[in-house]
Amino acid sequence: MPSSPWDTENIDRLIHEPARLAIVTILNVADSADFLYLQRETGLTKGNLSSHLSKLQAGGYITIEKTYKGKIPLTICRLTDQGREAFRAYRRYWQAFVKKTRS
Amino acid sequence: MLEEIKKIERRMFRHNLEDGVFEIVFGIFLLLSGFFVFAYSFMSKKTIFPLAFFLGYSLTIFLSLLLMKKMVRSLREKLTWPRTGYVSYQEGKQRRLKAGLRGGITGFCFPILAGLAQDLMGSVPGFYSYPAVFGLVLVISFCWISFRSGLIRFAAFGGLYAVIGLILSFSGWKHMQAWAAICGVIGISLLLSGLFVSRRYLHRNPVPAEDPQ
Repeated sequence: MPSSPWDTENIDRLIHEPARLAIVTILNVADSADFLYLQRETGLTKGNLSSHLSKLQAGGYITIEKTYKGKIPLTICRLTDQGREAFRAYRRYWQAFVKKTRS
Repeated sequence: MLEEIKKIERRMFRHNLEDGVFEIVFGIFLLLSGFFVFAYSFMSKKTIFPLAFFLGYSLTIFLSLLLMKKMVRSLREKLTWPRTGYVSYQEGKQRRLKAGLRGGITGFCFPILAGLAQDLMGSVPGFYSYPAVFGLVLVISFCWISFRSGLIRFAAFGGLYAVIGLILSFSGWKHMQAWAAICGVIGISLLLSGLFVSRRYLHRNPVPAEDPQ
């Protein structure tokens, strides 16, 4: 929990970036989503989305499974337990932040 | 930031109903139910046909609940996923939406079966025989879906079905025919709406020309 409204030390920088936050939010609601779905929902380019997914995977927040459906390659992304917990903590942080700034 | 998160979550809820596939499948199911009840209303209670029909229909309803999921998935595999990508909702809040849909379907089917059983046993048609009950069940389910997804058309459907249910209840029709009518009306409206929404969805979301990977 932040000690002051502007306490930025506790912000999870990996999630804080808007594009990655959108990805994590989507994967928090869904069980899994493929690359095309994430690309359409976030509006990112393929390169950008790949880069953000790699960072989230490196941080242990998501898993990426490459598979095929017929001849079509599918890249399925899932949030890990660590990622889900990080998202919840990030949300709690902002809720506390809003509460503090209102009071 | 929190607003952005909520916006994305709401869009996710909506996505499941945006392609019209659920409406098409549910509409077909209700139309078939309407045909069944209509045919049943003309059967002589002295023969074995109504009982056989009732048992067959009970089985069909429960099989349909299983088949509907497969049909929705199969249609999405062909229509939705190649265009807007694959997403599965097995965890998190989407469960509640699915539970709501299942509850709505079950809430619709149960009164039909109970009413048919009552009719078959020759007792006086009671509470279940009124189409208004169906309308009210659907108002609750559809308004909830509309509230969760932000899609106004479902609230409009709920209101429409409540009015139709009330009209049919006081129309003086035989209760079986009134059931058939409300099943048919709801089925046709959902089917038409689903086809319209689906057509618009396919038009707006062409298949990506190149490999998305």
